[in-house]
Amino acid sequence: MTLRAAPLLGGFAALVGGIGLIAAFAPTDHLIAYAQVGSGVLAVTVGLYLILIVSWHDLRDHDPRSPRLYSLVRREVRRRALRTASSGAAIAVLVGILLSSMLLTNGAAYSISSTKDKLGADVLVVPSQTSLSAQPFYTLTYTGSSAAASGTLSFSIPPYLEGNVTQQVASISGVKQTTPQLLVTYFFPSGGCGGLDVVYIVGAATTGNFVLDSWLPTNVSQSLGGNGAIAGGEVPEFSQLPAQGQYYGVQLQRQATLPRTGTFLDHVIFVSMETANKMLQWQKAGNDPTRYGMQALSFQEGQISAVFVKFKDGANPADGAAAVSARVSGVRAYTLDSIAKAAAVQYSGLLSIFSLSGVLVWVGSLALVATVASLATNEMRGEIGVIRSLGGSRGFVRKMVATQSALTTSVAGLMAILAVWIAFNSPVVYDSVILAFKMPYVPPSPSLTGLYVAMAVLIVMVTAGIGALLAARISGRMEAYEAIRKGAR
Amino acid sequence: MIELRGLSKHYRLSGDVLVKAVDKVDLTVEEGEFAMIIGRSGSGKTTLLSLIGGLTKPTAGSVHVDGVDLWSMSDSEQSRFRAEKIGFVFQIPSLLPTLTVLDNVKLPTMFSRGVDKVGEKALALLEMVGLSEKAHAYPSQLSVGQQKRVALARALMNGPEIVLADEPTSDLDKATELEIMRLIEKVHEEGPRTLVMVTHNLELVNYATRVRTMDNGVLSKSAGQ
Repeated sequence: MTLRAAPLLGGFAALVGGIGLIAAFAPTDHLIAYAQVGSGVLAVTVGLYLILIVSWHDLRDHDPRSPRLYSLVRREVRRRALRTASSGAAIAVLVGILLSSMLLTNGAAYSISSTKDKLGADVLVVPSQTSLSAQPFYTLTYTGSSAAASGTLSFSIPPYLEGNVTQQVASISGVKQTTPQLLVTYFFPSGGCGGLDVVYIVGAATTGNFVLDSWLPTNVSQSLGGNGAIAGGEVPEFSQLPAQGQYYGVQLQRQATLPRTGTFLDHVIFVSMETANKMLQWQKAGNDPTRYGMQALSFQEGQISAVFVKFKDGANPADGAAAVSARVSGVRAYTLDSIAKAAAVQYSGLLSIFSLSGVLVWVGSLALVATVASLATNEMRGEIGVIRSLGGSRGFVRKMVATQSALTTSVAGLMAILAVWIAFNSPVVYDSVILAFKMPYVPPSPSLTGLYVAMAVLIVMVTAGIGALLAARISGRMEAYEAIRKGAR
Repeated sequence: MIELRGLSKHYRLSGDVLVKAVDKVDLTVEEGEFAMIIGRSGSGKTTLLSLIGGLTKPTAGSVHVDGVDLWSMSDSEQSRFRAEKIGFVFQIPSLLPTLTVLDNVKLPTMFSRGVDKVGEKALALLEMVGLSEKAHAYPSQLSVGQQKRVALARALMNGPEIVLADEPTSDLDKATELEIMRLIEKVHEEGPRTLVMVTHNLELVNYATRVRTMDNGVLSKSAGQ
């Protein structure tokens, strides 16, 4: 037995505990989320350190065995902890950036296409004052423009449309179905700090609502009946929202939760048009919503914010949108394809930067690994010379430096992959990405994420392998006696 | 027995300057001899020693140890041969800083077959050099003189027939120098072992059974003793 029981068991306990902490990741508060993930990653790191580095026995005085190669490597890593930690951290950062850019690029594309598909609409009709060019996916939640001032996001609500717009649009040739939606209000559960967690309340039709129907396992009228509400994928439990889900005199009952889209739809609470009207009546009865931390409602009974339109099979949505814009006054109609395209174009620059930076980062990581391997090997040249003089072959020396380089690079790289994977599944990063970059993002499917992680692992292994080979090559070229003399300087 | 025939090591520096560190050296060291090569710094002594030990590849000539041509062997064969036949003591402290004193002494057994009771033997060698109580210390916790004594113990770990010592007493005070030389004398006598030592210190020539001087890479034929 060459392993010490206490650090080995402690290492496994820390590893299992850390993974458990991460696996149980279901934070309701960002601070707790950071603490949970941070503690988990730290525990995993400590666990790996205890297992791989500390638990190995130092040979006893009367031990009949000679030191082993891994023993030399392990002690080198342990005694030069600062060098190991700094080179490992550099590798981890680079691998982290690489995987992040892969997930971000693909998550954004996935978000745009899946949202478009799930909305099930061909055309979106909005007030003519709404600017589509700014933030296409904001338009879907009816916020025509946004402005960040003093770190707090504020949104303007575009003018409302009269309710008969829905009928006018429905009467246009080729239209198969229409469904109206109404932006009731929005609020910031966290006080608007940094713009996090903005929540919209949107009124939706309970019948013929093909937009919500495509998302829900049950029908919309069942979910929105009474004071029922359908919440977007990122809306916290109502009990954690201000006023615990009681808005404008109505206590909302969460009946269903939509899957994440990576857009602001994830921050929407859908209510029925009847519920929206009840809220308006509560305000009209003389109640002041500002006393409850809510802004005053500005729509009138029967008004709407937008109409989603589905055309008959074979009809051209672009022609339909043009017809709607021409025949219904005060509106503009956009095809969902054009919105998605506008989004894709808008983000393509950003995504290209991420893709390019990913490639550059890998090239950079190779250069860094090569430099670290070269520096570490040169730093060890005295030891290498001594080992050669004692009878260590060039092959042994190559194996030793390659093992050391591969150990540091692969452990650091795998830790980075774990951290990124956790981060990209956390609401903290989710909100940060959407709000900081104004970018749609949803984690790719588990199988796709698995593929990206596997690719990252492969990249880490290739990078580690190259670093190890380089270190081995440098060490193999050293003249033993020269190495000892230079190593002493 | 060590036989050097026409052994040369030339370097080409920038500016196409040829440095003849060792030039056409012929030398025979008989089994059990204590040969000392003296010379000033830069005379090529250390290069000669590394050529004898197979640590530096000669430009020309041959090195035969016990009838075996060192440079006719593959790297792994030569390494194994070095591990089992030759022990080195270097001018500079050359212990691995990441290993304890005891593990440093045990280290050569990684590369040699058939060394029994590694731990006991390493402790016995530390006892011989008077450092058994430092077995679990790290090299950085030892003085230079103590490190050189550990290096001597390490050189003997695989029971080599030949010990090559490069300025083992440099940078030491007189008392420590004497201590080290007595140990080397003991190693030579108790082996019995073939010993080749290079030094610039003329006061040490009395320890050797044969002395040669080296100057500008050339080994003189005149014997100092």
